[in-house]
Amino acid sequence: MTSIACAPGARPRARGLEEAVGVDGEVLVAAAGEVHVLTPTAALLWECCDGEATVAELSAEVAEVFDQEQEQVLSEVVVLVGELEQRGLVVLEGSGQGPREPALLAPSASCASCGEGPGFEATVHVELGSVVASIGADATTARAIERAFGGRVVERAEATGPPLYGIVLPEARSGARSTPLARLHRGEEVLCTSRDPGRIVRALAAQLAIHALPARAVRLDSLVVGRAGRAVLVPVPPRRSAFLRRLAAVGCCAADVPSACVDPAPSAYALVGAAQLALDLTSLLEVAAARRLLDGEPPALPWGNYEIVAVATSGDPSPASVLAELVPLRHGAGDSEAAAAVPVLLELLDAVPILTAHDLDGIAGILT
Amino acid sequence: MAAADQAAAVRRALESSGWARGSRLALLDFDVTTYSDDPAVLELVDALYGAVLAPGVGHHVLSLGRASDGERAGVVVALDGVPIVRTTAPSIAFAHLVFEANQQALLATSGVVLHAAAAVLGKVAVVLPGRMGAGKSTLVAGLAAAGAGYLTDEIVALAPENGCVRPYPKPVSLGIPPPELDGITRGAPAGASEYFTGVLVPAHALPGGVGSPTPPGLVVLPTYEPDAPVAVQRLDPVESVVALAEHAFHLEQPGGLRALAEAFRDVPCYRLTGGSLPGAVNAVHELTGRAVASA
Repeated sequence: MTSIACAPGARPRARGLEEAVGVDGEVLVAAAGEVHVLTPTAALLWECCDGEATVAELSAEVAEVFDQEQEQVLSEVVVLVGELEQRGLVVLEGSGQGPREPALLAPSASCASCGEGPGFEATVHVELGSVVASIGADATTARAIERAFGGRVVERAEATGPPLYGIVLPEARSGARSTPLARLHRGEEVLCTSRDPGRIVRALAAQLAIHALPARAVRLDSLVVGRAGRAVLVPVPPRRSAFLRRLAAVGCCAADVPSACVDPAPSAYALVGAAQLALDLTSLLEVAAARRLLDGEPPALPWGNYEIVAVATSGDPSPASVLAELVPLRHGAGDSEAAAAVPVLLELLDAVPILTAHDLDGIAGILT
Repeated sequence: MAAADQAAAVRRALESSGWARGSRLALLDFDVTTYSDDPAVLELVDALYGAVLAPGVGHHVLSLGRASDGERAGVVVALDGVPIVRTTAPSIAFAHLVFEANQQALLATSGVVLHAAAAVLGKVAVVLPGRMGAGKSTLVAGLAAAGAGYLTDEIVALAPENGCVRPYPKPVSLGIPPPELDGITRGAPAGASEYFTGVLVPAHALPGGVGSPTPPGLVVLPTYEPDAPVAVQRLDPVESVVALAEHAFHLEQPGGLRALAEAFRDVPCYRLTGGSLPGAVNAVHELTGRAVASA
């Protein structure tokens, strides 16, 4: 550990004193996942850190007790207190630390075979309740994102690594045989692609809204298929564009993002879109319109709340299949988001039928 | 929905889907019932976890079964209805089930808990803390093959009421077992099904059987070093607590470090390095004899 001296005017306050253990004349204490062994001198100084005395005052006392040169003692104590602070054994009172910033959401760990994901000209950080999400984009789109999110845009001084989300709205190139699809990334993963950049703009907003759900709402790994205020939750199909065309043929459409936000009370509704963020997407949609490639994509499900009238599985239509396919995969033992989805889904299963995702006529029928 | 109600609802959902209920496993303080749509999975669980089976229904539900993964047939492992892994490889799914059972046993069990193996030699428990790959499972299997009572190869939990090492006789996990362990690995259900490709030795198949709760009398921190001669080094009291703490869980809980230091205050602690299993087993026997004599 590199030693960092603290300021002589800092007022250190010891943490974890009651947890200290004496072994063979030395003091051991656990902090920040490690056990630290303090010499008798360091332990004595640590015990004197009451949050009132400054480091300079503590040094003067130590110098007097041990009959040492005060300047020499101070030079050692500022380093020692700095080390204690690094180890989480003291906090420096009055050090000017402000309130904690909202946590920055990070992309999931990368794997070697996935590459690094796309690069972006600019990154915008937006506040979504208790968290901050980063969005990568080209410079023009980034400015439009800032206008859309207005007061939610925040500055992050520290280096934040690759953005959590990335939006790619390719310029239409005259004479080119093909232009890449507009797409929304989450880390290295491509969440949605479309020939309609406006659809990707709406998908970005809807995806961000998932981080600011109402308290009782949960997220499921599911596509919301709907019509006329009613919805069926369907497992995310592997070939989404083909699925959307088949849906359109039976008069239904699907939400822009491969996640369903479900509000269970008073009866279960799928929240489609980003109404809770109260965004003005005009400038972003103008950028998207200028880059529109081709028409002909089936329309997306309009934003709004849809009563859930059925769930569907791609396997056999059983409760076990619904749980296996629609509950989000757990990320770590303490993932409360995935755990919260189970009771909501189980209660939903008591109220609605289970369909087969391949049976689009059946889905269309129940939505009528 | 309360946790118990949720587990009951998950059980009903699985049973109404035709999944079979397997055995209840008592894994330290983690109380779980297994479910699968494939009887072979439940038979394998019974074969491996025979020493921890309990009557009745557990508080939690650990399930493994077929489910669609997009357009492909896949296998999903879930705890209380929450998927832990979705995969097309049954052996990966079963490995996750075994890993999750162990993780939950660790999370559910409070007090002094170490990442360590342990066996009963004479009247004391020998505790073998170590990181993955240190050789603790191989060493405890070697001790068990020589007649020691097997307690665990992964989690040492001390009973709060008397400080004894609680038996957690999960199957011994041996990556590539050395030839000295051929006698105990021969009967293991290795490669017996599509779900299982490693070497897990059921506790009830070990010659020394499962040990009873026993107070710790010796700590040995093994480090496997291929071809190195067996060497031991005694740690002083401060080094012992620091070394144990490196392998301890729940230290952040109030009194965690104090409880650890108290529990092992009079227990001699050694580092053991080497590449010979018989040599390491002999060394542990010798150190145990010394510890008992000095006590």
